[in-house]
Amino acid sequence: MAEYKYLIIGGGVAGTTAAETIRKNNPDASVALVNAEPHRLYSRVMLSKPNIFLGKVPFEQIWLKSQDWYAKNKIDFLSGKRAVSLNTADKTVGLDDEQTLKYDKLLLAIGACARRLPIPGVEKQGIFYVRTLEDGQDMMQAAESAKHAVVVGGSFIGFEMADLLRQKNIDVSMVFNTEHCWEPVLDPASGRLVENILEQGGVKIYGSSEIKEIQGEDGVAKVVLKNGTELPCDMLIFGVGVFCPHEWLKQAGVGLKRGIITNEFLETSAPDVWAAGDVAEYRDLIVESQVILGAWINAQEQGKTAALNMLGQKQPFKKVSFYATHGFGATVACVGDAGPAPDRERVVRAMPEAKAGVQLFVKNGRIVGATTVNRPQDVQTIVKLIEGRVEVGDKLKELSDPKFDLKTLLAK
Amino acid sequence: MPNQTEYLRNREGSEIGKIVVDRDLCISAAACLTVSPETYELDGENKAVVIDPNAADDETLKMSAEACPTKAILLFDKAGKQIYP
Repeated sequence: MAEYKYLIIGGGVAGTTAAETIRKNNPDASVALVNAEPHRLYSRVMLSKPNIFLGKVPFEQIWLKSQDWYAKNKIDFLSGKRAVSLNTADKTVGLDDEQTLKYDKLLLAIGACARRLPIPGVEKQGIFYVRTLEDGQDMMQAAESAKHAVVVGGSFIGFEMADLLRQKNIDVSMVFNTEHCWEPVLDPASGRLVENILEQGGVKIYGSSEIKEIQGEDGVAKVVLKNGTELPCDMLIFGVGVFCPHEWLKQAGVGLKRGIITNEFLETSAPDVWAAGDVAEYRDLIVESQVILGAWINAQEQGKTAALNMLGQKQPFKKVSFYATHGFGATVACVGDAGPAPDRERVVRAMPEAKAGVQLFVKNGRIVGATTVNRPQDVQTIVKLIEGRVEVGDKLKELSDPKFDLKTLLAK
Repeated sequence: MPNQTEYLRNREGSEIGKIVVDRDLCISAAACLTVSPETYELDGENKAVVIDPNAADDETLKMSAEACPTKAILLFDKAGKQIYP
């Protein structure tokens, strides 16, 4: 049985950064990196960006590590292998090729999985999820001949894909089951704003709608909504969030909720097991709650923090993450822990004449998250307000006035 | 026409002569500034800008460019030849 001082499951940016950090701090320890996808590190975010999707740059630009990087750094790279079992008492991980690996310290950086909806006809060709390199390549190929695309889901992936497909002159319809798009993260005003941006970009919006059936011979040809509306479709893209069953971790007794539960040091409930990246539902000391976030920089920095803690340090993960998307000439960003919750107030700063809007999520008198539509200039200010845990409880009325400059709160 | 900003570098002993940030490619992931906060910050449009092209050593600068998930940071040698990506 192969034995490793440091075993990392997941070769995305969290796992790879962790391996890199361990190697930098310990030149000799044995490190293995297990990756379910048969690829070295690539930029998952580029799959839905114009440069790659529209072929403006060679596809090879997607790679973020060279083939020989792993060997050069003495990292055993087991790619195309999936972890299927964990025994925290024996400290072993079983892989789908029946190999068993023993670890001293284990990192679970296994990412997230695209949610799949049980719709009749969902097995047909021409249906895509935006997750893996192959998904990206398949969509790029399909977009060469597609005439009518339907995008299911009104948030990030839907927005980016709709923009790319419109740039390919494909007719695009967007279907989502909420009243306005990007719900519940976006408030109704911001949601409508994004819908207007999409509509002006030529996207047909079908809100409060669900697909009843996907029709076609081998490939998808038509989508039928529950209200009977029929949409011609030769390319159907789902961007309806993430869901991972994690049965093998459940059986191993690792504490799970929406993701793998960790404390602020990214330690899981199991001894010598850490989690990082999209899968980690970590204790966020700044917003004082468990947070799960799918964002590149969050994954990268958690990989680093988890690695340092695996090396024996005791560093809490403290970072206000943010991510932005660009499409149809507009920018939408999420900052911190953006989203409503029973213990939060939502403060909306509507700027309709500028086709912009900001909403702030306030918990216990402090901002914990925000979204911005066409207001990139506010993002760093909001990051600082969250980081600095600036008291705003007595200023909610001022905050809702878009003329009130958020920067004045920093000056104090 | 690419929307790029160029920053000339004259740090002694460095093989890098120029840093270029492609503003269209930048998605504000902020990976660059976590690797080298002395080199970059995000500006009023939430895009990466170079605040000091000479602050970091070559290795750090290369790492900061390699960390960008959209390859929005380009590095050139003293002769003007692109060395990354």
